[in-house]
Parts: sequence; structure tokens; C-alpha cells
Amino acid sequence: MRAAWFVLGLGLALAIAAPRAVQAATNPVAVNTDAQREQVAIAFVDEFFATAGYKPLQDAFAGALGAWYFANLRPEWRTALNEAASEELDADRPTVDAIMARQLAKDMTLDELQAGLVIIRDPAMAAALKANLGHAPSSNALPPLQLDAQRAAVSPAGQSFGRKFDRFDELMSPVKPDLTFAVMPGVLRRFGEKAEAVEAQKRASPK
Amino acid sequence: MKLMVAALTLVLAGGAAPAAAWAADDKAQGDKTAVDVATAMYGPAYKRMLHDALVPPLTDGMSGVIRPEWRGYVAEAVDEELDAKATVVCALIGRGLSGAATPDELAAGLIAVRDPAIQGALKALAEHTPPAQPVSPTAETRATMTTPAGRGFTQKVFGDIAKVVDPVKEDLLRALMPGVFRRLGQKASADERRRLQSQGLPVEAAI
Repeated sequence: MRAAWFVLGLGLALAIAAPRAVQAATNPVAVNTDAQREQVAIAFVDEFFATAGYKPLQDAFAGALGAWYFANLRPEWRTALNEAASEELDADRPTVDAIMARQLAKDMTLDELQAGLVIIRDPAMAAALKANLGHAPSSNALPPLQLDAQRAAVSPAGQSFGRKFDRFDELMSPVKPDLTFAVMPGVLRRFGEKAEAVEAQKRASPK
Repeated sequence: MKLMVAALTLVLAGGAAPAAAWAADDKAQGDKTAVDVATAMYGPAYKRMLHDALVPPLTDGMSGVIRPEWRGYVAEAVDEELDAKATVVCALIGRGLSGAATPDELAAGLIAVRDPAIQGALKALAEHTPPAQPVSPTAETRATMTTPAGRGFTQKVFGDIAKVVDPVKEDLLRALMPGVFRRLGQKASADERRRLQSQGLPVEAAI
């Protein structure tokens, strides 16, 4: 999962690098309930993965499982495992997003999350993330953050968001097992079905 | 299992009945006899042996990716798959037996392993428990097992289970593991779905 945290951390670094001359402009929020924080956190996580994609998570899962002795009994099983991890993470995306968002909401205020959401929604941030993930041209030609994102980035809430995001890996540590346990049953089931299909095909047409 | 050879040799050597004459089977008949031997030994011995060989390493190897509460599902999944794939597994073990013993030895062994007394002894040994009652093979078993072919079977099959299974170990895993993973995934999915729902988290239909 480290790759995903790295990507998230990268998003933070880019946000904090925004021009600091812009005045902070996020609005204080009177009511700051768990439900509100979770709602904004889910929007943030959704937005992030919509931009960055799930590939780092998928690769991390497939990489960890690929070390299994059982996954290497046939080359086709390795492929089946990669596909299973990828399909299951897509299918479980609402669950994964919700678990991560709930954890984010435990550690951040509504102001911080709202600032993060403004930053992540900025087109320049999306371009920077894609560039760093190899989906787009180098960041040399990236546009600057728009005004509202710049304001969010330099606001106290945005700065605080940035500091907390800087330790995102640590922040998500308590829910890493839950994320794994939410996804693994489906990965195992899909992998088993795919490997059974491989075996059936080999029995039907032995070399 | 090493005790098996000692115990069975002791039991079978007790009788001094005249040796039976054994016609040499041809290769095809030998292969069929080998599968018959595997089938006769599957319930009392091989199934338990495979369970013991698969469940601990699989459970330990997956300790980081499955909930502790799911450890019991590993054993259930293995047992269910061993039942579902009994015919395939016996065919594979039969192939191992064909390579380990001669057709004459297998024909002699088949008489012994079909003897209810020997089956009881095998079961007790596989389960590491004392036999429920003194082992009293039939006169035919005693006579057969004191022949050179019978002694050869005792030494090669009862005496070195690993030698029989090793050449077909990977094929056994290829036959069994896809179904084990599918079953484990299904069982864990059902439990995880309940857990996620109880926490108010979204559950996809695919889980």
C-alpha cells in the first residue's frame, strides 16, 4: 500500500508548494460533526482516486500476494492473481474509500478536510498527480493552482491539512488491516475461480 | 507416519500363512490398481495426511491477510475441497504409487488396504491415535503381506509416504488450491459482509 500513500503524500507536497502570498479564505464552520467530516472525507478520497487511479493499490496488493508459493505454481495463476486484485479493488472501491475516509475524518477537522478537497479538485493538482504517476507529461509544463486552491493551500486549515497529510502513512496505519480484510476475501474468491478455469482449460486440452 | 510401517509390519508379519502366487500385472493394470490402492487409502489415511500438510502452512502463510477469526475457514475449505476432488486426488496419488511400487506390490497392497482391520489401523495412525481395538487382519491379508510383493508394498508405500506423494505434489496443489481459495474467499466474504454492514460501511454486491 506504500505506493498509494506515497501518491497521497505527493499530492500534499504539491499543494503546500502553492504560492503563499494568497490570503487564506476558507470559511469557519460552526457545526463540525463526525458525519459532516466523513462526508467531506469521502468526497476527498473519491476525488483523489478518480485522479490518481487505483493502480498503486492494485499493484501493491498483487505484489504482496505474488510472493505466495501458491501463486507461482503456474505462470497463468500469477496473471489470475493480478486480475483478481485489480477487479476486487474496483468492486470494493466504495468500501475502501469509506474506510479510509472514516479514518481521515477521525484525525482532521471539517475545515482541514474542506481545504484538502478544494486543493485536490484543482485541475493543476490533477495534472500534477497524473504527471507524477506517469499518466501525463512532465510537471515542468503544469499550470499553477487556481485562486481558490491557492487560498486553501495557504490558509491555516490548509496548512494544517498539509502537515497531517504529510504523515498519511502513519494516519492510515490503524485501518490497514481493515482495508486488507475488506478486500482479501474477494481477491481469494476471484483468484480461485480464475485458477479453476485455467486448470479446467488445461485438462480439456492437455499438451 | 513412520510409525505406520513399524506397526503394520508387525501386524502383518504375525501370520505365517503360505505365500500366494502373484501374477505380474501389465502396466495399465498396475496403474488401475494404483488408483484403487489410493482410493482405498484415501479415507483412512491420505485425506488426513493432505489436510495436515496443507492447513498449517496455509493458515500461517495467510496470517497477515485474513482475520484471525477466519483461520478455521482454511481447514473447512481444505476439507471440503479434499472431498470434492477425491477422484482427481486419488488418480494423482495413484500415479505416485505407480512410480513407487511394482504392479505386483500394488496388487498385494490392495488386498491389505481393503482389509477393514488395516483400514482401521491406517486411520488411527493418520490421526495419531491408538487403534480402537487390536488389529486383526484377515488370513488372506496376512498371507499376502508375507510375500515378497507384500513386503515390498509395506516398505515402499507404508514406509515412505513422502516418496509416493513428492513426485505428484505440485499436481496435487494445482488440483486442490484453486478450489480451496475460492471456498475460503466465499466463507470470509460472508463474514466480512456482516462485519462491514454492522459498522455502517458500504458493501458491494461483489463481496
